[in-house]
This record gives sequence, C-alpha cells and structure tokens, in this order.
Amino acid sequence: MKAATKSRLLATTPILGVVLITCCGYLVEDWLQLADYVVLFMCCITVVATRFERGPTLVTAVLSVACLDFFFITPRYSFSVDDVRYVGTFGMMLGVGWVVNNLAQRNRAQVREADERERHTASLYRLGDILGEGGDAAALQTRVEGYLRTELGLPVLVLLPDASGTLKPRTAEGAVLNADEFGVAQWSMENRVASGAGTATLPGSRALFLPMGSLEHPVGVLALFPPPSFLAGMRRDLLEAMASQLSLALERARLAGERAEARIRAEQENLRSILLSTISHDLRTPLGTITGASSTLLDPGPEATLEDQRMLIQSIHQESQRLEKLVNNLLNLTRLETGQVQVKKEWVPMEEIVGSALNRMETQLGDRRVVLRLQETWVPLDPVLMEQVLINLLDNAVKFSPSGSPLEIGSRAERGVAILTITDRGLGLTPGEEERIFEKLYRGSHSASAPGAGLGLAICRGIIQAHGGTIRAESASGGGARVIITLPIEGTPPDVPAEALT
Amino acid sequence: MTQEHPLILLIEDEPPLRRYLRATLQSFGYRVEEAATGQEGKAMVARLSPDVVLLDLGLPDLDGLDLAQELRGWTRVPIIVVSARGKEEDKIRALDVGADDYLTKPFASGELLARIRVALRHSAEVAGTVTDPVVEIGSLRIDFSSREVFADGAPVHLSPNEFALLAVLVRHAGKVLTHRQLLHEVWGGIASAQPTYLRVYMANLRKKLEPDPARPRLLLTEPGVGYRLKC
Repeated sequence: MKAATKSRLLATTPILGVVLITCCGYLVEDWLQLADYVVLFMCCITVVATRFERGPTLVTAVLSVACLDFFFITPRYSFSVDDVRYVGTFGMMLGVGWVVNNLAQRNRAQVREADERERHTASLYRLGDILGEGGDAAALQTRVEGYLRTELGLPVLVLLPDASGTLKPRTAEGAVLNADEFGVAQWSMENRVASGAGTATLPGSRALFLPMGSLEHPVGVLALFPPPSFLAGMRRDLLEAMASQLSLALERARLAGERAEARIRAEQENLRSILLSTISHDLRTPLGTITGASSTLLDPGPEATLEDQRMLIQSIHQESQRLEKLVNNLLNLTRLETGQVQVKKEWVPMEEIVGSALNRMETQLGDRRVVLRLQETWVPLDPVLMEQVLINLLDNAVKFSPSGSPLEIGSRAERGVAILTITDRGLGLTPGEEERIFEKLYRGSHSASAPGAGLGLAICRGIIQAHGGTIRAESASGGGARVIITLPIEGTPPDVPAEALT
Repeated sequence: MTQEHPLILLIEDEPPLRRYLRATLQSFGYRVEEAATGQEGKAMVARLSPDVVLLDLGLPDLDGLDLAQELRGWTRVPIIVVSARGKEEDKIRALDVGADDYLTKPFASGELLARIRVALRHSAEVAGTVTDPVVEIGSLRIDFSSREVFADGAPVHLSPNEFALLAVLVRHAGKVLTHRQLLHEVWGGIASAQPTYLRVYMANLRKKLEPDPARPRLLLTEPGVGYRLKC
C-alpha cells in the first residue's frame, strides 16, 4: 500500500517539474530569453526520459511543448504560433525525449538482464555447493528439493526411478501429481523431452517436467509447479541448467553407490570364506577331542586307570566349554551384524555391570587379584550387552596375561562421557595392533598359543558402537594392555523419591 | 511328597538331553519321569504330581511358556524352565507367567542341582508350617519379627524400602526375581516405579551388607532380568 502511494507520487514528479519550470520562468521572465526556456524544458524532458518509462516521458514532452507554446511563445496564452520555425523546435523536443528514453530503456534492460544472469549464476553455484555435499540419491533428492523451493519460491519435486525404471511416487507441500501428470513425467524421462507447462507437449499442465540423465541412463525428472508468468526470459534456461547439474550429481551418486556395493560384496565374500575356514577349524578341533576322548572312555584299553579316565573326562568338559564360547560368540556376532541386536538403554551404575561380569567370570579368574577403581557412575546402557563386553574383555585379559597377575578395572565420568578401563599385566600390544585387534578374525601377535577365533573383541566393538561409544586399546605403562571404553552419558537418571529413614 | 526321593518330571523333546538329565538326577537320588511332548507332560503332571517340573521351552507341540502358564493355573509345583534361546525377554516372560526359575542350555549339572534344591525347599516352606522369623544366609541374619538385620553379627540400619527389598529376596532366596516382581513387592501401588529405583536400593543394600559392594557375594545381578539372593 505504502509502496503503491510512493510510486503514484513518483509518477507525478515529471508533471510537477514542468509546472515548476513554467511558474519560475513566468516569474523571471524579464531576465530570460526564449532559447533559455527551450533549454530548460529540454533538460526536464531528458531527465524524465532517462529515469522513467515511455508513458511519463511522452506526457512530459507533450506538456512541455504545450506550456512553452502557451505561456512563452507569441502570441502568448494561445496555442497558435507566429513563426512556423517553432514547430521544428517542438518536434525536436519530442524527438529528443523519444530517443533518450529509448536509449535509457535499452540500457536498463541490459542491466536487468545482467543482474538476472548474475543471480542465475549464483543460484547454480549454490546448487553446485549443495550437490557437492555428497550423499546418496535420496539425500540429494531432499536437499535439492528444499533448496530449489526456497531459491525459486515454488514447489519442486525431484522424481527418481526405482530399479525397474518406473518413477517412484512422491509429494511435497503444494506439489501433488495426479496419475495423468505422473504419466507425463514418466514419458518425459523415457523420451528425454521436457513437457508440461511452457513446453510444446501438454502446455496446459500445471507442472513443468524436465528430464534428467541420458536416453540410455535416465536418472529422474525435475517437476516444477511454476505460476503462469514464471517461465518468461531466461528462467527456462536456468531451470534446464539446474536439471542438468542435478542429473550429473545423481548419476555420480548412482555410480558411487554401485561401486560401494560392489566393494562391500567383495569384502563380505572374502570375510565369509575366512570365517568359514577359521570356524571349521575351531569347531573341529574341540569336536575331535570330544569324539576321541569319549570313544576311548566307551572302549578303554586294558591298562586304563581311573586317573586316565578322569583326564579324558576333563578334556571333554574343557573342550565343550570352548565350543560353547565359540558358538555364543558366533551367534552374538551374527546378531550384531544382521542388525538383530537392539540396544535397550537403561540407567545402570557401572559398578553393577562390573560386579555381575566378575561374578560370571569367577571360575576363569581363579585367584587373580582384581583391583577395582570405580567411581559411582550412572550410565545409560544395555546391561546385558555391556556385561557381554566386559566378559569378553576379561576373558581376553585372562588369556593374555600370566596366571596370578593382577587385573585392574576403572570407571569414571568426564564431561558427559563414562570411561571404563580394563588393564592387564600381560604381554601387551605390538605397536600398530591397537586398532586391528578389534577387527573380526584378527588374532593378535601373541595369540598363536591361545585358543580363539578372533571374534570376542569384534563383538565388543560392535556393541560399543551400537551404544554410540568408542573402544580402543593401548599398551599400559608398566607393561600389559589396556582397553579403554567411552560411553556417552546423555540426559540424567530418573529421580528416585527419597523415603524417611526410620 | 517323598522327602528322600523327590520326583522330577522332565518335559523335554531331545532324547540325549533327557538321558543326561536322568543319569545325573538319579545319581543324586532323585526319581525321574520323562515326557517328550507338552501334552504328555501336562497329563503326567496331573497324574504323578511331581515335586519339580523341568520344562523345555522349545517343545514340538506346545509353546513352553503357554504350558508353564497353564500349569500354574492349577498346580503349585515348582517349574524350572530350560531354554536354548537365552533371550532375556523369554526368561522374564517365563518368570512372570509363574515359572520359578530358568536355566539356559548348556548348563552345568551343579547349577541344575542347586536350582532344584532351591525349588524343593521353597515348595516345602509354602506347604509347611510357620516359617522361622529369623533367617540366616551366609553371614547375614534377618529377624522378620523385629525387622532387624545383622551382617557378620553387627546390626545394620536399613530404610523401610531397603528392608522390604531385602525381605522379598530373602523369602525367595536362591530364586531369580524379575524387576517387575520386585517392584511390585516393594513399591506395589506406585505406577511410576521403575528398574532405576531397584538399582539405587540394590546399590545401597550392597554397600551396607556386602564386604566388597563391587563384587557382591549375596545380592547377585541377573543382567536384563532381575536379582537373586545367593544361598
């Protein structure tokens, strides 16, 4: 409203200018020649012609000629002229107005065009930035839709085909396609031809469909919902440029995705074959002992003593336990890797987890001294999974340190992170192993003598990562290895209502 | 009930496991009957009134959990659930539908015999006369009549909730109690009570009763399931 008033006021300034010149000229009539008036009016026309559109310029020119004629050219106060030469002057005034106005108009159009081109370049540049952030096709899709919606100020859909090449349905606010329009989009992509609003194909449609990708490799369709006047000028070129930029990015994302998939497949294949050979070895060895020992027990030699039988039974028992551990680890790892493990976080004091893990490990720990440095730390964690982590780490510590050497478990909280450490006084780590020991099937440099398939620490890492935490190992000062676990402490434990002590 | 030779009913479909259980249990003086299916087991519970039922969850004809619930509908016989699945949800459900304890395959015979002894003692207490108001477990002595607790002979001061929690555990000594069961016993009507309460009170109890609270000998945690007072 205010702007409208302002522009209306602005439109009256040319008229005011002419009136002002006329009045002033009238007052100082005695000092001015007729030529001066012509120059003054000419100036006024030129100024108006450079600043205003054609209409105001024409009005100013005609009004100036009229005023000059009426007030200052004899016979005064009449539109008739004594000298025919004045008609030439009038023509000149009108002509100057026309020419100057035309030049100014063209100039303004060029500036506008340059501005728009600059804006378009900036738009494309920002789009490039957004596309450069990477991610898969779905991520690009949402990001680009959001960007184009704000940049162009109109609803935009990035339609992507599924594996069979059919566009997947998609809607956004103000951008809902009916079945016919969807068919048009599909046709656009398949024939690599733009269609819809502003094109030769179905110009009556609400949406404009720009195909992306090549005929052989269509990657999708950019659907825009432009208002009727939107597609004028260079906008269409801009949209085409955006579509081709987007199609390159989508193509890149598709290729990257395929490459990553192929790599993962190859890695999985490799891992599966290693896993199979390791496991068949690790399963067969204890089974061999069990089968052999039990068959000897069933059919003992003539000189078998009770002591011999006891030894055989003991080895059956030990090997069964080894089998049990391996099977448990395999199951746990498979559950973790297939995403079947859900972390159910509860607020638990670290002390409780450490206590129950030590309890379960009592037999293996034997008479080892366990030094506990536990600060009271409540941590949101899955108690079952965390106990598994601790058991695996303790099992490892026992395996790789001399019997009778002490173990140390520490826990504390620092800046929203719980830190749990387990230190043994064993052989420690070989430099470079700190990360690798958590890899599946990796067996440390000292593991040759110890049984195990290299699954325990991989399980630990899987569980800790599922908690959003970290796990790493280092050589402890004074010998031995230390595993350091961090777990995020988010939120605060629920309040427990106090009760009166009696 | 034959005090010297209690009858154990095995409801288990795997013959090797039945054979192993029969040999083990008989060598410790128990009488053993076997059922290979749920239906058969149900009939045998009604016919033989065993002293303890060992129930496998993975039966061919019935879901073990359903069977446990059904049995609980008409008999007080202690049910020890045996499962190969080892999932915490299964354990909790089994205990909540009325099973007395659970064992995860594979288990050592010592473990099994301990659970059976606990189950037999509890059913004797339930059936028997007034229980002793003073209970001694290890170095712990609880006097239910005066609500006094002694650790190593020294009196320990417990808050009412701490005492209530300890009392529930002591009354079911040796048995695992789920979070839900414990919360119900101690906080009963308070709907907002949650496992965190238990953890706070359990930590307090351990501080007061255990010589080394970080390595509890009495108040044991069953991760993801509940707590058990060792006896």
